[in-house]
Amino acid sequence: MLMKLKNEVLVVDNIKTYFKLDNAIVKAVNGVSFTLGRNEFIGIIGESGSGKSVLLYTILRILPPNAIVKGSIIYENINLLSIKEYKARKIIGKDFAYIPQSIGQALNPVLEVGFQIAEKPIEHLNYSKRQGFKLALKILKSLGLREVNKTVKMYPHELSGGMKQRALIAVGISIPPKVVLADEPTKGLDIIKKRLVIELFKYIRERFNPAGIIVSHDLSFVREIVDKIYVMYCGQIIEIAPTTTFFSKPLHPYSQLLLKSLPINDFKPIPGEPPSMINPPKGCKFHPRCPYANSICRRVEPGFYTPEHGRFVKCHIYGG
Amino acid sequence: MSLCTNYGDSNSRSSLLRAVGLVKIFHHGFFRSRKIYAVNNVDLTLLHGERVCLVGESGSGKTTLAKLLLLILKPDKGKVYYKDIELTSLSKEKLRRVRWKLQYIPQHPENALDHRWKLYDSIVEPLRILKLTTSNEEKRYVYDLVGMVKLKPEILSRRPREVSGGELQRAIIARALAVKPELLIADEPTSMLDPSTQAEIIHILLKLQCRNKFTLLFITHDIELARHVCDRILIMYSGQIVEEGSIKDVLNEPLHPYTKSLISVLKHGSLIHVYDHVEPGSNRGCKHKHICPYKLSLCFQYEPPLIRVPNNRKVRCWLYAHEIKK
Repeated sequence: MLMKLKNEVLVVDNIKTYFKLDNAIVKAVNGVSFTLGRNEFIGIIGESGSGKSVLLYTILRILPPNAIVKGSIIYENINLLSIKEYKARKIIGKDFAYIPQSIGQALNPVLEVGFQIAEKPIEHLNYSKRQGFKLALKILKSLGLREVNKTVKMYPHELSGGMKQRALIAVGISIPPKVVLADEPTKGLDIIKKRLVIELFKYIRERFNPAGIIVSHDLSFVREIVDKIYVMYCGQIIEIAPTTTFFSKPLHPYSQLLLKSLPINDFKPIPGEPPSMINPPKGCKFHPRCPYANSICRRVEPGFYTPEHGRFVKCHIYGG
Repeated sequence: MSLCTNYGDSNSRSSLLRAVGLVKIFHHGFFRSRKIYAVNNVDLTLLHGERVCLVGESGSGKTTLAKLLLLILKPDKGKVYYKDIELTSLSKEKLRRVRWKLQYIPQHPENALDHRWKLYDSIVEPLRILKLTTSNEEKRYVYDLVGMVKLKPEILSRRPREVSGGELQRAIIARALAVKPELLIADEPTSMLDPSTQAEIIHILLKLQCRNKFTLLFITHDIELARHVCDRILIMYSGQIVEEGSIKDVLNEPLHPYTKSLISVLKHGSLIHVYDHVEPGSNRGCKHKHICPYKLSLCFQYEPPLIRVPNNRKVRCWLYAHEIKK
């Protein structure tokens, strides 16, 4: 399938990622489609276990061997899912920057930080080791680290949390990225470190103008960085909205309850429990927990409705 | 959110746990040549049935302080009193008889329980060791307990890796409360959970606190969250408690420069100073002097004491030196 991409960097079409277990199939991502525009940052939010991270892993092709993937991901007229893995790795490794969860464990403890930053240019751009280290020095300096000459020779355990965070981001941007993929970059960080991560992401956006997908359940963080919010629930995207209008007026009942559960708002938990991914509920996936659910929600799965310009929501309430 | 307003006159209540001059030094580097003061001269009093939050950035010594209070780590200096018993001088055997009244919920639930045990066995273990129930009542007791934290009974026959983070954290709360403790220290119990689960866990914790009237020391780095949880707040920076007071006062009118910058990040989203890794040149003087916008020459020479200021508050800063004379 070839498509002419003008304003889109990435077109994700009807992705289904299932995990095969001994006696069951876990439907982690169940029919997700979206397009990522040039220079656009989107935030995917949702509870833990809603399939956010798996969606990222699918795009990066780093799934475990028991995964079954259907659908297509088009990047520069190439379907990343249909080509061979080593070819995909060449494209993904070069153009995509991945910033993983849990900064503590993401860096290799037995390699120097500088080498880890230089690894990508050495692998993909035929840099020599010395050139790579020089580049690492330059990047770390641009990220506001002092005494870079020492830092590039250090091992991860010698760095403080804030320095590690910046080193990780340096690994991501050692080749100017076209797409930045971040998986809960602020999980477990305090507000001051969180602030730092926000500044770093803003820096990346200004400097390289990439597109980005940020997966997080930290809404206050996502709010400051992304242009569009995608709400994910039970392996599906159920609401798409511009960031500005989403926080003032969420449409889907789940989004409303999710915002209410924040400590800044009412701090009320969402009633009920997250659905089973092995046997997801029939009809609307959210109906067992939805305060507005009626008989049609139990039977028919809603499609996307557009109650306002630029907003999409998967809920029967807006079906008219 | 106010589940119960048991916060009466704090002066009338007696102290449950008291720490005096706690110090913990970690040695590292070549020949253990470098010292880190993880906890540096902390005085602390926890009253019966109150809810206190300990707030600070990562690396400020919150967890180490909690571990010192429970005698999981042995302090290098200082004393810990539980009611009138001095815990620090007790022998291991005697300590064991007292310490089960003080319980702990760790930050990472996934490492807290034995991976090979079913949740039921983990929850019931302290009961069996302390012989708090007979074997006939044991099952009913555990089921009651699990109901209190809103867990389904069938989860008890699973192992830690087979349940979600929220369920696991609830099981750990159930285990900590099984022995009816007088003090519960919760060390960032929700920092790894999503917002809805976080709200649920905190609701359960506070409801149980109201019912059982135990003292809760809640460790967090999220001030927004602290506002919902506690009545009194302790701000920690670089191993010291730099400010203490009721949560309302501290949020409305922070006194210490560090607290001021914390709250301004929260309110305006602006970072006044970049808190980078600062290699302390000398240990003399105030710990905050390198980045403090209000620093005086005094700050470089002497370390400020915890100064008492009106409204039952305390602050560790020389800017309030005039309050000492009063």
